[in-house]
Amino acid sequence: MNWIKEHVKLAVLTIVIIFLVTIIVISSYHPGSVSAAGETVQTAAAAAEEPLTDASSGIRGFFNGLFGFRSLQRENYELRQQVADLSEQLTQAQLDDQKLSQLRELSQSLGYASYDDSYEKVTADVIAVDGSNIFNIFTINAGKNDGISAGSVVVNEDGLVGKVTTVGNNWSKVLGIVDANDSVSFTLLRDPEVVGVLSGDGEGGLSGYLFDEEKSLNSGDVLITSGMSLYPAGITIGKVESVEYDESSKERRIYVEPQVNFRAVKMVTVLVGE
Amino acid sequence: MLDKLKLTLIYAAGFLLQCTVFNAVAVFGVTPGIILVLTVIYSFFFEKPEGLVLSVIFGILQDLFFGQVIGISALIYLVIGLLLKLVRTGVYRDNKILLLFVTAAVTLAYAAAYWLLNNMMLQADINFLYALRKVPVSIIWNYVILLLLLPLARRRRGFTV
Repeated sequence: MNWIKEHVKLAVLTIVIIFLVTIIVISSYHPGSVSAAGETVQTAAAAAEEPLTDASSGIRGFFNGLFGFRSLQRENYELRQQVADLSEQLTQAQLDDQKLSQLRELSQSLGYASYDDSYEKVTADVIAVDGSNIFNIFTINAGKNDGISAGSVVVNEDGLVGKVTTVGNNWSKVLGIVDANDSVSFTLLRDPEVVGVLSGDGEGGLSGYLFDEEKSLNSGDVLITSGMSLYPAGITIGKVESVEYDESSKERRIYVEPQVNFRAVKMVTVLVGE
Repeated sequence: MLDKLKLTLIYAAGFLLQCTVFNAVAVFGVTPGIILVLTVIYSFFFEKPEGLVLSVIFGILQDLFFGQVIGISALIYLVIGLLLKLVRTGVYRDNKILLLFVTAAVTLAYAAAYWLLNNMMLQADINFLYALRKVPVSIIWNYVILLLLLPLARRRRGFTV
């Protein structure tokens, strides 16, 4: 006791270090869990972050307008190209419309429901982004009150973003798919018989393998979720960047570039419940 | 008391700006580590531990919001702050080259320790070079922010060079 009185600073420091190490160990065994006190603090901070993020969109717009004339010209050109491509696709889609109607009738008769039908969708804004520059983690302004729970799947207009890891009343923490520890089962958009599994490659991308080594797969092929894991079927994951033969595992290793630019995500859709 | 309240507000503003407004002005996708810079300033130029205490508190908040494991950032801020307090007395601190060196060392140490502890605790396999790829830009960002915040810290009682 006397020692503590004589070394107050050292004693406090030791207690703080023991406390921090303890919460590190506990939270690593229960990732995503948060205490009531932590949730209250986060709810208060989320309320302060939302208007600041809105203001920052204005700042970004100002700088883009000031320095981005050339990029706007390029974007304009690219958009014209996209309009031309989309017109062509529309024509093709009209041709396929009859085929689609037939498929819908077939899916109804088989009792099949796509994720579009079976999930309620909650749209949310990204209100804060992780500054560690290692992980793709961000906070959105929707939570338990909107029906979101830990594990809810998050998508945006480009494809699969990730999943909710922690949820508060009006906020949720989203972990990018490239950083999630769990695997995503995939299938090829052009050939649903090609099936495999992907996980984060530790370098901001995804890598994985095919279940059937005999199946063919090429660079540029688009991968979508197969529905065999947490993630429902039909969500775009990304494009195959390369396929390499791994001598040690005697299988082809697939490297995938995610469709989503995690640093540019501003708005997401959370798929809630089934 | 008023001094402590002001310092808390500086940290709170820094934290909120770091994860919101600064994302709008990110360079190559890199944002400055304002809490890390504040840890450097208030550990290196001040003898009292208030700054370090706030670094730990806001480190926990940062982990609550963005970390997969809570406490990692707080522990790193604490260790960095303590090391800076150990070396502060042996050097003339108001030297821009020394500050650049300190900023570089601290930014690199934070990124490396964050990578190491997350890999260990999550049993993840994040590539070391991938984790450190943005460190050069982070160093420049943090140094600029440090030079901007230093005049503000000079006005505070207890600032010593």
